[in-house]
Amino acid sequence: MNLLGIALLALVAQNASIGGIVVRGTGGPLSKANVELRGADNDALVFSTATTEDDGQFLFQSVRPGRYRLVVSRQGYIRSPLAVSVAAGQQLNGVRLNMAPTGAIYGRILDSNGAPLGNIDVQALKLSYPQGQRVMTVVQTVQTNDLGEYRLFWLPPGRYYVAAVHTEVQDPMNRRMRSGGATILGAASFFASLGTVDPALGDPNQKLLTQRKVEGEGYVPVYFTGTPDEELATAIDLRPGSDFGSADIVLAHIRRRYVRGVVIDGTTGRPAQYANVRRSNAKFPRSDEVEADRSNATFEMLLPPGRHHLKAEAASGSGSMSIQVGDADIQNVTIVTRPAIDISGRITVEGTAISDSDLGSLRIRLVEDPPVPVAPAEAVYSNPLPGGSFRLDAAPGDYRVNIAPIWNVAPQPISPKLPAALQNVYVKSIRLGAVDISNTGLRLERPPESPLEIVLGTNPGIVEGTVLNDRQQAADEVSVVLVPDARHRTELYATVATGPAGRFRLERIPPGDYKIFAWTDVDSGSWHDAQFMRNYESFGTPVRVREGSREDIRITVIP
Amino acid sequence: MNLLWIFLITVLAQGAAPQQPASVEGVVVKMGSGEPLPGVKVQLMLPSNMTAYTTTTTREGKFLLEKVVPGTYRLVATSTSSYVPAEYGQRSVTGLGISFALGSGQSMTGVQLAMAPTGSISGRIYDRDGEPVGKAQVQAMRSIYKDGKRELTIVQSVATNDRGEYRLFWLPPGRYYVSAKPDIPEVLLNPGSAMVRITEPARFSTYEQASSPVVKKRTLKSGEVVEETYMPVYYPGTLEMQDASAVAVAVGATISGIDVSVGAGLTSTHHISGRVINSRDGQPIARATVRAIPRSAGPMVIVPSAHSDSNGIFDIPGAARGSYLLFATNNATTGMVPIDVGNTDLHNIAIVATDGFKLPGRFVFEGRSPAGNDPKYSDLRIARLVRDPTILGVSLAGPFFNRPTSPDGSFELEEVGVGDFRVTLQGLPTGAYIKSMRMGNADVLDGGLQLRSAPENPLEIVISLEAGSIAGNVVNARGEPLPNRTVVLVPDVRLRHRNDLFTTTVTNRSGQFQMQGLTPGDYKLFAWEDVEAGAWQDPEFMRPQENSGLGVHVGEGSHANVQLTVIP
Repeated sequence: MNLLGIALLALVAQNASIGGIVVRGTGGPLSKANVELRGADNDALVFSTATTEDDGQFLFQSVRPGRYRLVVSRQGYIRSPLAVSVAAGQQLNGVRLNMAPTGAIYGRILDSNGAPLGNIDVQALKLSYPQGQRVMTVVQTVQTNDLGEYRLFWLPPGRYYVAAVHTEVQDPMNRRMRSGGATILGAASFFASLGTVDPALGDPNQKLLTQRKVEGEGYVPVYFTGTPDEELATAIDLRPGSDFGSADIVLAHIRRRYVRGVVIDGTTGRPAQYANVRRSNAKFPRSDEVEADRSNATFEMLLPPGRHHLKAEAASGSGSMSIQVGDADIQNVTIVTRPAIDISGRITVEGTAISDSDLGSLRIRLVEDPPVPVAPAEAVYSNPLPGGSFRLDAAPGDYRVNIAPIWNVAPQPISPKLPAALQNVYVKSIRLGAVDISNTGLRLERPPESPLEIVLGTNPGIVEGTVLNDRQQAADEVSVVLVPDARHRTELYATVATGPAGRFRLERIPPGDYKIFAWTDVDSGSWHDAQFMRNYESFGTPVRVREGSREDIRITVIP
Repeated sequence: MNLLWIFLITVLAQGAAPQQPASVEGVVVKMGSGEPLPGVKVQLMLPSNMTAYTTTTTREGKFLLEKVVPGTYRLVATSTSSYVPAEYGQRSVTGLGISFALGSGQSMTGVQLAMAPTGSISGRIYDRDGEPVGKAQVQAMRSIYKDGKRELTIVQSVATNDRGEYRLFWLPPGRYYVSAKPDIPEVLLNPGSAMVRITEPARFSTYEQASSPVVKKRTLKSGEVVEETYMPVYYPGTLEMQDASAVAVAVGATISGIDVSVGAGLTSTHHISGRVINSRDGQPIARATVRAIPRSAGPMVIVPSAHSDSNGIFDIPGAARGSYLLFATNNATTGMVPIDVGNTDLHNIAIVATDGFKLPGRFVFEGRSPAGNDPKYSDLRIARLVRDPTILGVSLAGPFFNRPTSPDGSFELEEVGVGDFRVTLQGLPTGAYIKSMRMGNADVLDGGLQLRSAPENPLEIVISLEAGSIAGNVVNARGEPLPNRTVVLVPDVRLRHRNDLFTTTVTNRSGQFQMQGLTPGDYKLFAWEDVEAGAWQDPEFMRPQENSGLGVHVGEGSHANVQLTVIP
């Protein structure tokens, strides 16, 4: 055999193969499953795809050695991608891709007279706790038909909330053309070339000179079983492959209530000049903005029931106030504005030196405590200058210091990437004078006498170990969560999934006392929910982390 | 200026004498059963489509609009989406009504508006194995005339659920075609909302849709990789629009069992790759959007597209077999080349794109204005260059903001792109018509404006101030005047391709009509009892009708007065 032949043979011998079977929960093979062999790191790169037949089998041949992800999809089933790796010439067989059947939630949306409402958006939402803050995220939206019926489907097992949103709530232009997935081009030929718009449709932006005025009424999103208050929504637990029916919601006109008050300049005690009041809302920060009366600084807003955070901005400074709108109008709200307080600060690094440019990539911000939704454009932050100095300013109030991306106390509208040099950096202390405010938070009332001192450490601890199941075998694909004893310190939580052989590694852990937990099936962020944790406290393993320490522990999965 | 002021000024402009308020009273009923409908919004609308007055029907379905300022109005009733809006003077459920005048102190009583309940079409979408297809896009379409040819236009789009079930609803009565296309064929990592478009029922308001193809890759057992996409399948199960069967939805009817198998729609797709270069210097154009626009008509157009890289190279996946126009744009730089995709990928397609160029031109007025006033060139301008034929996915090319025409009639459009266009004007004085539009030797009125590069000759537009006009009335066989009938002025047989020479109008309450700004020539006037919009441009339709029309010759500045007997 010549050299070329030997080389070719060697090449062929290099090539590995990955094969296996896609099965459903009960063990039977799944046909029509689409299996993709993708690069481990670069999600977008698909090397090969295979669609299973009735026997559920798939086989990828001529696979170059390396790390991959098997991504499988099929109507009615779900599973997360599986990491695999093959060595040169390895024939990896019998890979089992176990898919969990998805479920559906269905019901009807009715008005207060019991009549069905058509073309209403119905959303399936999941509750998550990014950095400890309660956030509802829409995972699917469907529309009701003329009988008011809706069906949310292909939902992975888990906990859901359902909300019905009347079309009136949405932007009128948006209502006419909803799109997902594919793009809608050709908007210029929106209406057929022959016809004009049916005048009966009317101009959605037009105000009517009505003979009967309807004031203060409108639709707001309503959560199953029937409340506009997101915090009172009822959760639906979807078991694998099950359906939850009769999830009916009455979408009634909710009366918005008047909120009236005045903006006072905190320095002079007199009505603030050129004040604007708005409802702090991350999505549409300017949607409910009203101008306070220019002579006496009184204002009036129409708001739906629920908790709202009002923010006033005036020539003399800014102020804010939380209110709860219920069944009646609210009068005499007073928002006091105060000028912003200037804070100077310095950030220093203990241990390994960090370059000025890497340090300068950090974004230091004061986050309101409790956190308030903020639009990306409003999140003002400061980068440290060479030498580590920085300045912040904020109106009087309660705050926590946020240093993105290494120290996130609240979800950040835009999170910068972590530079390589900062991989091992953690926040050792945040002091204002003698007080360590990383634990207590900062109450800002007057300009502070000493600067804000942030010390970064470069020698954090590492917590790693193995997770075993009840049969003392390594458990992979398990969520490991490190929970600090100081439960309110959202920035100290860390979580990772176990890999092959049940191994996990949590890096960049600031010294302190923690408890470590391992769950097979848990909704991300549930560990921030005190009620949830009450059931599992005894299953946690205490861990004390010191500077530069490396803890290696074995823990068991929570049943 | 708020709405109240605009309304008052509009109304005051209509008549100066001290006016007594008028009123309109009547009842709204359900079509068919005649039962009264409560809670229906009844509006008096101005000719500009702004609402002037509104009220709601009582429990007995009655309404009263009072203290109405005398003027010209339309009366429209809108209910929940279970009913098609109804208008006073309508002659069919989806027809337009007529406007009427309310005089000083006039009380219009006994008005009856019948509202037609809407219907629905439901069924299941399944694949070639009979399994349900979830998140498939299902559309209800209607057949309309477009430039004399029958085409489909989309009325509503919905998505199937996991059981493959769909329901098209709030449909005004009529004949519908149903098409189905899987949105995400067999790959669903995260089912987002499919493309859904549902509106309140309207008598006429449809759309076309252009979207990107969803391409699926599949590795065959042989190791070969194929790329496929789903094309829409029309009920009962054909890929060809002309073989589709219509589903008749009567007033308030619910039609079920309209099932469609989408397996036949799976088509293999290919790549179109090549390079975009600039005609000016031969340099590659980066970040150009290149779209492959299918030549075949249809309301649901699938447009594969891609962007060119820093070397001007593009690679467009997802092109099914067929004829396309490859269109490349980068701001005002445009280029196009027709291509045909067969069974293989296309390589090395060069698109030479031209920077946006200037289009100079000149208006010339001819003749004397009947009103005696001198029209000004500065009031006249090119409104738009409209792509003709329309290219869905490529918006109007040409300048969006023109400088006003100079006092001597000259104008210059900037940033014009390549393509075939129709020129539309703005500010044409009353009693004027476009006598000629030429660019060098090319007759733009006849053949359209075909631009491939900066033009050598200016666009010369002659506007004659002596257009013809026709007024008349339409009667039935007994000589009685007929309101709300369609009257169409059809040009001579040799000029039937000139859309601009057709004039359409409807008779008013007294059966009268007017047409102005007519281009001199030989025409035929037709008045129909019932005719589908645009049918008059279909040679097949017109052939048996030719002798029923009234021959009319329009001369410069002429005015004719005619009486037409309606064609049943």
